[in-house]
Amino acid sequence: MSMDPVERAFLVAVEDLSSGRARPVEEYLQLVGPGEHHELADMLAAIFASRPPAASERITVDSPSYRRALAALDEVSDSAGAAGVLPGALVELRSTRGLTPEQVTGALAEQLAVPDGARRRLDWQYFRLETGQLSGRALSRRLLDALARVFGTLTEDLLAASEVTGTPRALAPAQALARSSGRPALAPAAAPGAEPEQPDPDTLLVDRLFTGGRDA
Amino acid sequence: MNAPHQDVDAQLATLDDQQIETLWRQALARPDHDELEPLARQLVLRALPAIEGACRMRGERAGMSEPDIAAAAREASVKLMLRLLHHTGWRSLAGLASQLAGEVIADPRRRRSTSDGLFTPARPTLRLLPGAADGPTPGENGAQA
Repeated sequence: MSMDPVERAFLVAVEDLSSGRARPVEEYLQLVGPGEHHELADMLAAIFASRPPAASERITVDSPSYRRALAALDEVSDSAGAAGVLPGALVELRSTRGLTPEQVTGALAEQLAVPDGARRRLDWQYFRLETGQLSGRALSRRLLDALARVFGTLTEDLLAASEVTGTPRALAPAQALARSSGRPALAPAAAPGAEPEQPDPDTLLVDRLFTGGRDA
Repeated sequence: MNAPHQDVDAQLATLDDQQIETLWRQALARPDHDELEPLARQLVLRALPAIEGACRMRGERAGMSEPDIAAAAREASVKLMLRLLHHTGWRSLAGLASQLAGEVIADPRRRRSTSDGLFTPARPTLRLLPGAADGPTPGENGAQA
């Protein structure tokens, strides 16, 4: 991604500030042409004005920014289990992008050429993924590739998230969700209610994506 | 439920940046890397100024609303954490954080809040009229030669 001189100078200032080596503003202004001084000065003023007290160069623990980031990271960390921290990461990325689970599975269906007849199965398996009921190592690379495209990230990020060790929760057998009627808090509004019976080739195709291993 | 994470956050916060990065690299090199996730979290928390700064700068330039900028910063925080679960090829944490934040803001597939554009005037589209590049004809519109 190309950056103009103002952005480059600003990022130098951000890095200096983050590492506690902030220099006088004039030094950053020298990194851009005279015609860009005003724009850079405005941007520097914003970030220098928002800097924490001199005793610390970091965002303070009670700032809104810190609390927002902490909530996001907690969502990820709390999900640690058999699929690593991937479930929480997916929920958080979906939430920050304002997407519903159905919109995610709609995009997956398109990318992975899932037939309409298997959409319900796809919704169900994605629900299981987001709620930590699948094994991370059983997820196919094709599925992770598609998820990476949906969320604008790298497949390797999602692979790593699915494998990071934690204290795995016991994997729930598939039938447990189908019979479950006591978990409304976990189920999204349009969550599939029960596992479809008599899987056909289309639903087996979906199952392979979610449980068939990396090469499925 | 979040307290255990934040207890660990508080303990790691007593270490300096260099120590955290060293511990993180050591954790990443181990096959089980049990401690990797809390160390990646800690690095993200230390990169927050860079994430916030880059999202604000690029977001405001792109005409994003305050909630959209906040959502982008949140997304960039999560993406940085995922990246730090495997990627070692960075020299500056703030640089990596700024890069990811820039990518999040620039992603055309990101949704913006629905209020965007409803009450803001459309950006004018300017086009050059034929012959306008030559300037006004002397005497035209009161212009004097």
